[in-house]
Amino acid sequence: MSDSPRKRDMMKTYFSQKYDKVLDSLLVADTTAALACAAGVNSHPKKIPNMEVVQGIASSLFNASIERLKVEKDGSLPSSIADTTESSDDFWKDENFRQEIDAESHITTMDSVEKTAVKIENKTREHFVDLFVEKLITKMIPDRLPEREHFGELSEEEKRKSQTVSATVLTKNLKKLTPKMGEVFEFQDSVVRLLTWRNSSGTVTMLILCTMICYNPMNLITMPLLYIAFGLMVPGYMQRHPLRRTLYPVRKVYGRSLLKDITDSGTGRAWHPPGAIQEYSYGAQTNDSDSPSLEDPLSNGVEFVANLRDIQSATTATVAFSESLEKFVYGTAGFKNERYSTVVFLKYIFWFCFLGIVSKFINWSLVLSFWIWYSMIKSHPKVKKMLGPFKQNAKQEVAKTKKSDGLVLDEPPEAKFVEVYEIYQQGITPRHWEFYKYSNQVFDPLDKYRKLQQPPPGVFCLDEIHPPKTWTFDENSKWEVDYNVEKWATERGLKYSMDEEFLVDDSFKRRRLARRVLRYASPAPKPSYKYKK
Amino acid sequence: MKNKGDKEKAYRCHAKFIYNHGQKPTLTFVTPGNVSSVLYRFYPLLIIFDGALNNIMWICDDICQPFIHLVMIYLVINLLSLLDLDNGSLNKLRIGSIFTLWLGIMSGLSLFYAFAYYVLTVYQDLRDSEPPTLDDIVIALESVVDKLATMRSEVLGRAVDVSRWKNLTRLAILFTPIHYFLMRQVTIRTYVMWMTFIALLYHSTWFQCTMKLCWRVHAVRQAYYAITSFFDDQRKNYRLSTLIDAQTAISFCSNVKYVPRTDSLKMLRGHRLQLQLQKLYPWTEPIIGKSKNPQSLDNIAVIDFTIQENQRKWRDEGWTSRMLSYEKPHFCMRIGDQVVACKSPWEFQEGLPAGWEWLDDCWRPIGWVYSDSNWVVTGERDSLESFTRTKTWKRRIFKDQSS
Repeated sequence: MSDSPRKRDMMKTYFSQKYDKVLDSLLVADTTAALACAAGVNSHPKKIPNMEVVQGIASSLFNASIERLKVEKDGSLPSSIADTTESSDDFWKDENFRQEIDAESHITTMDSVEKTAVKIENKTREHFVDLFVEKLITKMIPDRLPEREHFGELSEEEKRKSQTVSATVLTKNLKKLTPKMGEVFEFQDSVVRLLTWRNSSGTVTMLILCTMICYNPMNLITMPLLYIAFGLMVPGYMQRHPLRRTLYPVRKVYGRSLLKDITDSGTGRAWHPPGAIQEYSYGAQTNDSDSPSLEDPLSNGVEFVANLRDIQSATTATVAFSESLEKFVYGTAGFKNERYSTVVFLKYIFWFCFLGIVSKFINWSLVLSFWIWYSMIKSHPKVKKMLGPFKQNAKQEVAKTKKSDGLVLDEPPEAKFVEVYEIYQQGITPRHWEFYKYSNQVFDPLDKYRKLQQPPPGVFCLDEIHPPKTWTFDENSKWEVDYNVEKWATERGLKYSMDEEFLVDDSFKRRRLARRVLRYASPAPKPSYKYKK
Repeated sequence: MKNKGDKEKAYRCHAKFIYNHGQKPTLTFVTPGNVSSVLYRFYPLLIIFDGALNNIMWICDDICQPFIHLVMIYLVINLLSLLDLDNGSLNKLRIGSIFTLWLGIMSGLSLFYAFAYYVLTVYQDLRDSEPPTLDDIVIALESVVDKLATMRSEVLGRAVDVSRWKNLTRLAILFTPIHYFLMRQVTIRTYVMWMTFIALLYHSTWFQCTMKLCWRVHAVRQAYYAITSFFDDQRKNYRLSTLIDAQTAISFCSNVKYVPRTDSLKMLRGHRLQLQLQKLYPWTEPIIGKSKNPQSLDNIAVIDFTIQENQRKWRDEGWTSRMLSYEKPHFCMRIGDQVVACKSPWEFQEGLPAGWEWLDDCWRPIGWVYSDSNWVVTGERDSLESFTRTKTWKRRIFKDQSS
């Protein structure tokens, strides 16, 4: 039984060696085809014709299968994968427990070769679809992707890695990230608990620390150091060298803290499944070192899915945040609502000047720390309840006063002139002209519509002409005929005969009509991706 | 191959730990009634005391509370800064000091109220809930006792032994100038504040771990031993200005045995005398003779030299003769009550003064004895526990006093 995988390997190597050349030639052919395909797509950037898509999918499918075969054949990949997994495992080996590591390695060396072989086989089988998707993506986007700035020079390998979009890498990263994000969300929980007074003594501690920072900003640097030393490293040390303090079990806790009873606003609302906290011990590891829970992050079912959900809501929150930021940058800061933006701008300027002048005479430490304490105490649920009625009154008053802000928006509008051509077609006799169209094209013999023997874009009634986008016609102006034919003709490089206000060629004549258009303001800026749609 | 590996894995059997906290027989029926009632009355006090100890050791459920108490105590102590104001400047008392005063009084009051509230709620809870069993009370008592024992060991762990008057005097002599200097340089407020801080933080796990981690630094140990050697008469003598050689060793040696010149030894000189002595007094047995010089010339003085070779285990190099600067040197010997550094046995052998001769042919080693970092013997085999080891070299010399 144990020999069968080895036999299979041998068979595989034999076959792959035999078809090596064939595969290579196929690959070369495929890449040239892809290049040709890419060139074709380049010339028609709007969409890929259906045939090409089908061809692309088929070739990428083929390509992926070849790639898979190549992986199986290639000896270099297995070793590299084994190397990386081993090095990451090495980190978790403890220098103080050499005897156990030795005992384990003694066992693992025996069947490690077979294990890795099986692993790689599974991997390649799993990732066939990913390979396919990858190939498909590279087919769809033939150009080089735009690059990002890097701090240093990248090696060729890294460049290639950072260039390609790979479903495998994306999902792998997500899979690795998800179990690790648990602590981040724990942290988020604790922050929420602090800010909502659900851990009241913690909140008071936070306030005290904030006050200390206010009085000496250097604390902002020293406190993290203190935290790393005593919050992270000392517990780590205690884990390894316990102080041997025995804790006696307490059946019931008697007595309460005054601070807690006064400031309590209910316990935390987050729910955790019982036994969700995993305790890691060396004993458990040695007992069943190949239990799946340690290796495969997916098997910690509930926790994994919960983390995935949290990541999802975190991304949703990020999207919402970026949207509101965008609204501010392009809306308020982009003068979308001019009245509101003007008020905001003036407010900022006022506060800048006011604070700039006054700041010298203010004890900022005191003010800031008072403000922090005041705002936190104000946000306490109990205090909020008491302040409730006052707040409503205040709001109503504000609403009353905020009606006329005394702003005058009367910048002179931007004015420009627009033109259309009134085109006549020659009738039966040379003196007989018939009205043909109002058009924004001159429609001279060199015009592209004229060459195609198509009528130019235009309308038959002057009222149907619209101003350019975002502009309006000046209601006090009319369409006026431009009598200075020579001038506008030479400006546009047209050399035809002139007849009064008309420019005449062999079968058409046209005159130029101009009118004033106005615009109060240019359109507000938009983010770049909005223009493309 | 694979099957064999699997089998080995399957048969790897791990021993189990022993847990002491099994079910204990209840104390309710074996305790006299009056003891139980006393304990029951004592119980609320125990709980309050336990809570206070928890605060001092920073092991309560809510770690923020001791911190808040610490800050409040700081604010109360800060009131002392008002003492520093001169009487003259009291007239122009600034808003800042009024604020300090207010904060100090408020935090003092709230500390007092918090304590009173705690005591009240303890009594209230005890009244409202079902009465505790005797085992509960005993557990609380054990917990208090254990915490006190921990605190005592933390305070006195490496402290100077002050039970002797001599050391107490020395301590006073050492600290008086330091305190005098401090009183000159530092205000009362700062002094009281730092002392309180240290006292309140000392038993926290952070402080203890920090001390343990600092103890890993060689310089810290050196400083510690430099200071404590002032109190420890033993350790001062490890290093004299020069290494002891045979001549000084003999002159300082008080453990000279005098063997009477019996019939079998008469007339023997030099090498033959040595052989005979070896025959009469094998090196495995101690020599029985008079330790006082009997004033007669017909005696043979014998000295049993014992040199200790010390080694220390280093993480990377293993066992080497490199020792810490404050501890026993590589080779040392005991002279009287003192342990002093001496030359190696082989150097020793060179400088034997005239008249003295070696009784034994060579130095006899007695195998390594392993001990921990503080030279407390752990056994005869190297283990994780042992960081130092000692080998004893023995050789005897004799002098024919008649010659």
